[in-house]
Amino acid sequence: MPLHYIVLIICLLLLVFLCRKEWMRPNRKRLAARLLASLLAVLSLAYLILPIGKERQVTPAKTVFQSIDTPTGITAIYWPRQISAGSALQVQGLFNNKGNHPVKLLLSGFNERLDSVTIPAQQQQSFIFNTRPKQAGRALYSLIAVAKDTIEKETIPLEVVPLKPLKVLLLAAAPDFEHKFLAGWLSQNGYMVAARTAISKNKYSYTYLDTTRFPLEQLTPALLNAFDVLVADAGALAALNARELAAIRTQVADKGLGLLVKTDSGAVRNFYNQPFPLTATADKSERPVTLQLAGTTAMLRMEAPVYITSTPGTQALVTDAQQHILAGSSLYGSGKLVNTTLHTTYSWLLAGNRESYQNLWSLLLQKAARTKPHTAQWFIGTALPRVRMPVTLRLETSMPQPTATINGARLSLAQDAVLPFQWQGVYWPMQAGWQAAVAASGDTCHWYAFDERAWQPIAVGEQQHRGSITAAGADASTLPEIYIVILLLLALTFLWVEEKMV
Amino acid sequence: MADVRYLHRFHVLRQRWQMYTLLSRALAALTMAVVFTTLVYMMHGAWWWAIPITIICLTALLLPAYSWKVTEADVIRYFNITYPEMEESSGLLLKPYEQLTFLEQLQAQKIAQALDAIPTPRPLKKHLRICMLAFILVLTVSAGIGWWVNVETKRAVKESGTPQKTAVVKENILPEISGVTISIQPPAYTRKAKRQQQQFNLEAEEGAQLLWEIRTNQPVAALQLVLNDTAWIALQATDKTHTQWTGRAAATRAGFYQVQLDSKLSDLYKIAIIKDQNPVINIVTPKAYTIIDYGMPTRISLKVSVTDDYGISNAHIQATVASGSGEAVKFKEQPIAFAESFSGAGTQYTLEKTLDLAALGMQPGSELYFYIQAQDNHRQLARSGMYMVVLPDTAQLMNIEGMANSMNLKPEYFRSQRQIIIETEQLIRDRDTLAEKTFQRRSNDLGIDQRLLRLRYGKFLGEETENNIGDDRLEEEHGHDHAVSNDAKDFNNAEKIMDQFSHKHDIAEDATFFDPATKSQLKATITEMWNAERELRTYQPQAALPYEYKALRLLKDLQQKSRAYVAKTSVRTPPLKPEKRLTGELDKIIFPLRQQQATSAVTDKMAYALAILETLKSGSHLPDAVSQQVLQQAARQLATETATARYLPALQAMRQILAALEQQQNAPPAAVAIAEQALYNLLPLPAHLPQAGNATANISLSQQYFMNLQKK
Repeated sequence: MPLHYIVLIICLLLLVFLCRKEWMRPNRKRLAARLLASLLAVLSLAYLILPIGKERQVTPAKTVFQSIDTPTGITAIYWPRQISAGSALQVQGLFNNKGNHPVKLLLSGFNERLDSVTIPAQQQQSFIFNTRPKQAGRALYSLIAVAKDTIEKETIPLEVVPLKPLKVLLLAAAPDFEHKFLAGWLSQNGYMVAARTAISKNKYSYTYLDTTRFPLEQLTPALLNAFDVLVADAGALAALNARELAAIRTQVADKGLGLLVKTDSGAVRNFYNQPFPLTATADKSERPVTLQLAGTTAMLRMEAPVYITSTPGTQALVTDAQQHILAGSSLYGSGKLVNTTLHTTYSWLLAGNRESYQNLWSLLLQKAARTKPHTAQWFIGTALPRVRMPVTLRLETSMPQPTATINGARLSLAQDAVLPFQWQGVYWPMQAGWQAAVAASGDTCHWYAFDERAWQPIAVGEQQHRGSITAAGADASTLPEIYIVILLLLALTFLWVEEKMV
Repeated sequence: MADVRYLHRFHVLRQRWQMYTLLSRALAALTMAVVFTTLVYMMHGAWWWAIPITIICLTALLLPAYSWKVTEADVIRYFNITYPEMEESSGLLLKPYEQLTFLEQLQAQKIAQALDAIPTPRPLKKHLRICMLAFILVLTVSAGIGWWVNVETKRAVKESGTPQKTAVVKENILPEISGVTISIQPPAYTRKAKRQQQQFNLEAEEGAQLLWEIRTNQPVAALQLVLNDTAWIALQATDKTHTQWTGRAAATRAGFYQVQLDSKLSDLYKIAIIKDQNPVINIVTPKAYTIIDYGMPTRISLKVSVTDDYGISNAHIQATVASGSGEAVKFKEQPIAFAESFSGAGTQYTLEKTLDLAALGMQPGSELYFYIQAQDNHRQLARSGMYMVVLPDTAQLMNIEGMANSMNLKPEYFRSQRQIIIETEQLIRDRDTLAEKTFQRRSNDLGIDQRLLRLRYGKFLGEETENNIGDDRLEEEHGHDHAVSNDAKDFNNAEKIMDQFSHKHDIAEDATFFDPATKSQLKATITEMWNAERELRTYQPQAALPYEYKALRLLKDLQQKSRAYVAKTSVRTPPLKPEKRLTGELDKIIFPLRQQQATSAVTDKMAYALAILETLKSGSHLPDAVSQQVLQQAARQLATETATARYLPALQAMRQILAALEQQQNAPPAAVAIAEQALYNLLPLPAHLPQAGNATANISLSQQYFMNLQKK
């Protein structure tokens, strides 16, 4: 505010000075015109300096039809707004380069350049950036397009949510390295692991990592209910009595427990390996096999591999180069079954190949794990929410009458006519930045509202698709600055020319 | 009217004088500029200052009030002073003659004559000359200084190995401190002289003695050095006014330190430690595993290069000879010295030594293991990898179990490699007693035997059977007829027609009995047989022997390989009886139990610190107490990482942020950026871990769908 006053005072003084000069001139011709021109000049100068009329209440931006070619810049973009810790961030998009110079696209965060790509001149090209975010919580990454100077600078908001460790129960028919290393790896990362390993007839060894002791002699429904995944080898499952097996079966089918079975060709057929018929190879020799899992490849030495035959309803998780399936998953009731024939993955850990081990077991356990119940889930209806534009927010909850607030302001929700658990509301973000959406339960969902000028090429493209374009900031209520500049120039020109004419 | 002639003369003189003044002024300005530029260059090492300095000097000397301007009055004054014959009346000549009084006219005529006699003077010529001389002198001297400074810097760079960046680094020091001198005495093993520096950031050899001499511009009660936030060194005042302080420490750990003046702390200064490197040993020859075959010289020429950063004080070969076989293996260890003497000053040696295996007591069947050990000035030992030289026992090769039968049961044309060797040796022994013709024939026959053997093994590789040149004992196997009877039934048989024109057997690619490794070894064997045959057929059985032995050794290796393979496949375990398994008494066996709690890593906290720094960037609100604690932990973590000096600015930035937050102020954005970048670089890549999917709980509609699907 003090700036306003200073500018106003200076302008007033200037006006008084100019008027006095004009008044004191002996030649009194066109005095009124000169005074008017001085007044206009000072007024327009003040208007240009002060942000008059630029702070406005929320008013909808006007849409005007305007036909423009696809502009230079990022014309499409996608990245997940929220990832869990340890996952990779992948930013995919399309860049339209109409200029005569190649454009370099840079993904940076925390003052570090994370990834870059160069788009040749006069081309439209897609790009993919990969990085593994290291922070926990919210952060703003940036995407910059540079040719000779910066063409576009955009914000990539990203929230990294901390992991919720799984609870894993291990059953083994004999002590082996595979189980030992799996339990060790999980407990190192803060996962709760309980293991029961048969060491002789009716003799078991018990392991409790990151948990207190509890009886594991009998697998009861209450016990199974406390775990997210049950990892067992086929031998251990075959050795279970009928009551235990039935308990596991109901847990998987009705309660969604994940069952990960390390199967082999000699296993008895039962519900847990029914969808996974096996074929053994004739070649028993040991050889390196290239495994393809979740977009990555890893080399593992295997002796006499056993393959899972593909059947309708199963999904291949791990295959070799010839598309033989080595791990697959299938639905069973509300739970999931995962079968794998890999038995020597611990050799990766021994060889120092932690990355492949983590990739494989993350994939298998994640596929099997019981889904975590949420009382409420938010979905943001607009891909790139902007300030001063309506954003549709959808809430999925089982609460009968949910109330929600955004940035402390209450959001009115309307129930969906067909899906009774869906609620919908519209919010107008006022300020660019993180917005906090809170359903009544108390956990906050953060989403980001962009500046009006952010992702301009995408906005132009979108509007053009609908046959109209948003002229951001060009409201009828405010005069464009160019008119003021022209007025100032006219007034000054008049004052100058008038003096010469005398 | 004044005489135009005199007017002109005065005018010319005035102009010349003015030009001289201008020139000498400009020269003086240039001289000054050269002097200043040289001074600046000596201090900062930059030449580009020359341009602004020259402009300033020229403006300063030439601009003020046109001091170089010479008026006519000056000229007249000059004449009056310089020439007595002008009688102080030169001014009269410039005035119009008519305006002069009579007396003045008389005087003017008088001095006009005198003026004619005076040659045109050259005022200030001497001055100009002096200026010129001064300029040339100064230019020469400064060029000399510039050259010397340049040479000196290059020499310093060469001596220290790294460019002297020390002069460029700007340090923030406490205002009370007027100067510092740090003496670094490198340890004896480096053979480096003591050196001094005038700045706080220091780089010293491991174990060097550091002596700080700090001067303050006002008396100070106490002065301390804080090392790595953990150790304090109290400095002692050496004068009564308490303005000179000294303190000592040994450079043992890299990190940082601060000067604590009363309770005021300075910036962080780095201590970098140059560690002594272990000697590096590189064995050029021989190879890591050398076999000396029969007939090759039993000498090994050893070529080693040994390097160290400060000096090598000793190096020798440690050799072990293993002889005998089975349980009777004997080891004899002996150090062997190199011929070179080590003074401890040389940093690089190329050592050569010829090891005579016989002199080391090696017999056929013995093995020599050796490594090189080197010691540097700092008594640091380094040793090379173990190298091995083997003298194969030819007697062992010939000896085959089950060969008690001395009779040759095989058909004669399938002489084995061993038989060929025996006969070659016999031939060599009999050479003196045999006629030349007989000797040559027998040698040739042996060559033919060797050839047959080669062809026999060549079949395994799918080689074509050759026509047996020079030997009629081998039956022609390949002469079968390609022309087949014409049968009307086969009229349309494409296979048959193709057979007629194709040559289908013995295709190398089809001979897939062996894996590639076996094949390559077989090929090597056959090459040796070729060589042996060549020597035998040129009647040089002595030269053929090494090849024969080598071929035999390779063949034996091949046999050993196939044996290992066969043994593995033929294992048969008796069938298990499941009803008898695990029937022992187990009641004494307890249930083993393992229980443990894992601790979470520190890096988790650092990951949160990153996100907190990110919120500080927006500057909207200050973080809460918990966040500040996380930031403090991150700062502590950074402090432990400063050994590399890379994170020193980040630690400083982090402390700046924490200080600002404590005073409820917004953190400086530049500091946040630096701290953020360092933390990001410090954090390891997060592990990829399994994570359960999300689902909204208790949605009755979905549950009903599920129940109905289950019913079916």
